[in-house]
Amino acid sequence: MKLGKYDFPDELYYDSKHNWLRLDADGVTQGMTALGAAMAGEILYVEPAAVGREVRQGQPVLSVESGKWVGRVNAVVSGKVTAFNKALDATPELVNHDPYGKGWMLRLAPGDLERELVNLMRADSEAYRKLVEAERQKYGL
Amino acid sequence: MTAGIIPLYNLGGVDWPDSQAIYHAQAHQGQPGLNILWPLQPYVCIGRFQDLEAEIDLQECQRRGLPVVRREVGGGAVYLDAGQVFYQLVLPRQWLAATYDYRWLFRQGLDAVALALKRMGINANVRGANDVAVGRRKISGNGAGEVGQAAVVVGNILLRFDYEAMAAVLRVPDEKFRDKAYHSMRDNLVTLEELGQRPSNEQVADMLAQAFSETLPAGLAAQPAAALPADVAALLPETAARLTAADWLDEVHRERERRRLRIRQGLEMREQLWKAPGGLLRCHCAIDSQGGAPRLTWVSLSGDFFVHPAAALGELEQALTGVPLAQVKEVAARFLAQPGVALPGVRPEDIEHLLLPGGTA
Repeated sequence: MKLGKYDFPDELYYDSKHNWLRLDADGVTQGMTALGAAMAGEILYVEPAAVGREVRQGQPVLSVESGKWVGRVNAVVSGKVTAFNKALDATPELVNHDPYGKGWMLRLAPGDLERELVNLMRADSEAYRKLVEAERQKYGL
Repeated sequence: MTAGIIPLYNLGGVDWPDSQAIYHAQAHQGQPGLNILWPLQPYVCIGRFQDLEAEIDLQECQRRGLPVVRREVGGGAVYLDAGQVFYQLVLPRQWLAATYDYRWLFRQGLDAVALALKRMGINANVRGANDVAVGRRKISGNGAGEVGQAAVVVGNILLRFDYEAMAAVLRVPDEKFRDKAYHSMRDNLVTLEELGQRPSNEQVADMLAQAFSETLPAGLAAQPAAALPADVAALLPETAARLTAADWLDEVHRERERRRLRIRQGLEMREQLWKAPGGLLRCHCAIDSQGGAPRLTWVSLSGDFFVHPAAALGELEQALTGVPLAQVKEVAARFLAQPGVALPGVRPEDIEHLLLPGGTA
């Protein structure tokens, strides 16, 4: 669905820090939402997440650089990192141009998905709509 | 944002390692601080995610006796010395909202710099997200990031700037690129001295401290403090050692197909490669996006491909100079369609890919 001018695919889950999560047959995939990418500006670098590393929901898993700013990206769910999108090495701006497709960031083997999914939101939920609206107002996006 | 008192440390000249270690130590301790200082010795500082080998000529640094440090905030490689007064604002993460606009953080530094300069009679203004400029020329460079338990914004005011040293320590593909970088910096940076002002470092530091006390938003207040807290001071040697350790400096290795050298807000020099069917293309170019659509202001093409007649390459460079990025493909198509011009295996879209990797400006 669209919230403002930004797409938020219905099949994804979202956290409050502008990250999305997709459930795959063999794990989960995480990336930055279109709104998160717009807030960040042109992404200049995505720090490769270490494959095999165990992360906890809400804890930093990698950093990104945009416009002389280095900011952290948190893990949407707990688990083991199984893949990092190597295409971002050469073309980090894929996060801006195709945030839900070629701009995905990492894949995880989740540790406690069922319990942690309840901490996430769907695009059509009242809570998420309110969050997106408040952020768009705050940042004029 | 949570209200907070920020200790103001007006530290004067400090040894170069401390000029980076202090704010890193504060950030990792989650302690607030507003530091105003300058380094007593010159050095080179690279951004958090820069590839040291690709960006810096280490032999030249060694020849000049310049140490190198990697900071944890963003931005590019910089030559730093006592001709620059630094500010470093460290805000504990818990003082800030769960998500916040990094541009807001930059403004906390930039507004103070601009005000301090205005007080010196200089018409300086915030330009873009992270520069303060006099007209189109940058007089203050700034960077920011989430470091340890804090959000940090750091920057400087240029009293004087050693353009020659800055250009000399950069790793460049050839001397032509270095010369272009040197002249671009001379044309696009400005110092207090060049503006006819010769305040002492102490005077600039005091004006910055005063400006911060006026520009910090409601809820934040800077309060002069005599000395760094003992726990921060105790961390300085190990922090400096960490930021200069060989494995930390060598930590980042980036794809070498692209390189950017940011001169000021909206002006970048780039080196980019593209594999066309006819061979490898390389470009060095400058892109200016200030005041309108991004356009090429300088283009130099080379690589491993066939071109006939030989002069066509120079003519293509000329045809592309001044062209908005959005029109690169169209201009290249017109050029390549000329009778007698042959670049086999190089299509207009290859020229576009070369100059606009990822399709972006």
